[in-house]
Amino acid sequence: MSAPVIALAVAATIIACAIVVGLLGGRHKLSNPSEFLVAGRSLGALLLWILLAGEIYTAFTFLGAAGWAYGRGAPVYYILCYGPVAYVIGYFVMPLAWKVGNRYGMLTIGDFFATRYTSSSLGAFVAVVGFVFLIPYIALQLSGLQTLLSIAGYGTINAQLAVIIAVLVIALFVFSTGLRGAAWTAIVKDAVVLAGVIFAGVVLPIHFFGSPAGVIARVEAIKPHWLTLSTSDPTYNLTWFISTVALNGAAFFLFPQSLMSVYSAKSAGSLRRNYVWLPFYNVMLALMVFAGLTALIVRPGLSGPDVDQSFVSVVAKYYPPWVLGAIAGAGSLAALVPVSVQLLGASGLFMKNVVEDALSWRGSERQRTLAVRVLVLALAAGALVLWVFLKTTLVELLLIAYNGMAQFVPGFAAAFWWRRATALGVAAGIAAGITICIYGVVAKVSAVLGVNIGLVALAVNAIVMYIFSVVTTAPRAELVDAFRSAAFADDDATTN
Amino acid sequence: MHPLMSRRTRLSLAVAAIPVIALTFAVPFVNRDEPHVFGLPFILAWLIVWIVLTPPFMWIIHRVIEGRR
Repeated sequence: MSAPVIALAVAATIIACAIVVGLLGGRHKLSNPSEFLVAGRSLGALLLWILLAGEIYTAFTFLGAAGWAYGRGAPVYYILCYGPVAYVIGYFVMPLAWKVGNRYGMLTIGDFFATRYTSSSLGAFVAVVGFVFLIPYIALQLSGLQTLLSIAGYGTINAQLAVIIAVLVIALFVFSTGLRGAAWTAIVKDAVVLAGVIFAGVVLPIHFFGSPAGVIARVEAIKPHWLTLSTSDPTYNLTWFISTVALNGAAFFLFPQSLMSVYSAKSAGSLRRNYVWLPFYNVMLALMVFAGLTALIVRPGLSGPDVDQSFVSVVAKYYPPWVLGAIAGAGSLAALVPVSVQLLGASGLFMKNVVEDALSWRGSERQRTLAVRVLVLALAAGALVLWVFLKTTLVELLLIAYNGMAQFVPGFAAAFWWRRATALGVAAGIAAGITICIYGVVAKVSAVLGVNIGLVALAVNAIVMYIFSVVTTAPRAELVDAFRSAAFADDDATTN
Repeated sequence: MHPLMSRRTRLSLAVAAIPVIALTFAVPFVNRDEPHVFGLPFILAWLIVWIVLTPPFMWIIHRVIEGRR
């Protein structure tokens, strides 16, 4: 058998195994939207851990972290740091969100805003914004998938077509099993991805340099200061680093699919226990930095979006096809499983908060299911189009998505801690923040005086929210009080 | 009384702030190559150590300060 056939067959086998596990584990009656979107709020410790932790191990992790270590050096450290910051914030905030979600039967982030601010229009607005900014995040996974499949085919296959086929397969899969099936595939995904990360970050550097630290000495000899943050770089300097870690840490939970994962927890306590330990999972990302640095020495000369191929192309050149196939299979799952959860989250969001609540469409269960399927295809198509036209590196796509999602932070925090916030105030704040983010994308500005533009947008957002809230009619006190007492209730009072 | 204003919660937040500051605002003060730790540049070793220390800090908050299971 030829090398591409072996590599692609191994990769396809790994993907097929995950789907089989998902189909077996996901067998469950999907009689209502809650069962489908948040697994009936019943996920126990293991599935919840995998679902929450899995957000960290995506195709971006696999390729983007190595790519930035290769292409930019020290700024890559932000990828290690924002997860722990997010988990610390999540420990305090997400149990509150879970309790109101449980009390009011929320399924999406749109439900959260619609309930607290008693405005289904705000819910719909948030849903549209979440939907739109999820597209670059999905495009990110598709870029990763294409990189992996074209290298695994040693350049002999049409990777674009392979990506489309893979995405269709996984979309059909997730819509037959819902979130529960996706959580089961995530178990296989995380097992093979962790094996791949250890191979890339430990075995590769030992092979070429004798030890993982050996590669550090070589990089420092060739590129002094590559591994410390710059104070003079106009964009990726210390201020950028701090603001980006803070921003991503805060925005982490406000991706539509993340809040959905939070709602799938069995209790607020199970969320807290997860957040205590999740940073351990993040440490493994450091290994991808070693993988990227190894590629920098072994295979120099890649630039632009090609840096994302860095360590996989080393594997293709120096290892047998089955190793490449295993890496490509693990990486493909790292793309496909998050995509499946994201498609689910985005479609549920749009269906519930825009089509049903804002447009008051009431269909039968069957019609609603069909509508969600059409929506998934539209979303996948949108992501494909963006992916074809917007060829930036994986990390840049990720930052666009984070900047957008971060605009939910002021309204989300005010829901708990500022009684006077109004629907119009929150909407005006989000609109102002998003405008700045879009300007940043169009004008290719990613930082203002070193501060991540998403954080600048966030500050403007908060000020606008404040001004528009105090000039509009205060929300009804008893509704806000009911919301807050649900959020701040003791754990025992909210278990169902 | 606002639950976040309780003394216990304030202590929890203060302890939780330690790893967060170590991973953000402390970075300009540790942003250097020397001394190397386990062959890693000082900044990278610092960040990895603090990521590993975050769960123990959160565990102390969870079990000791808040007294949860």
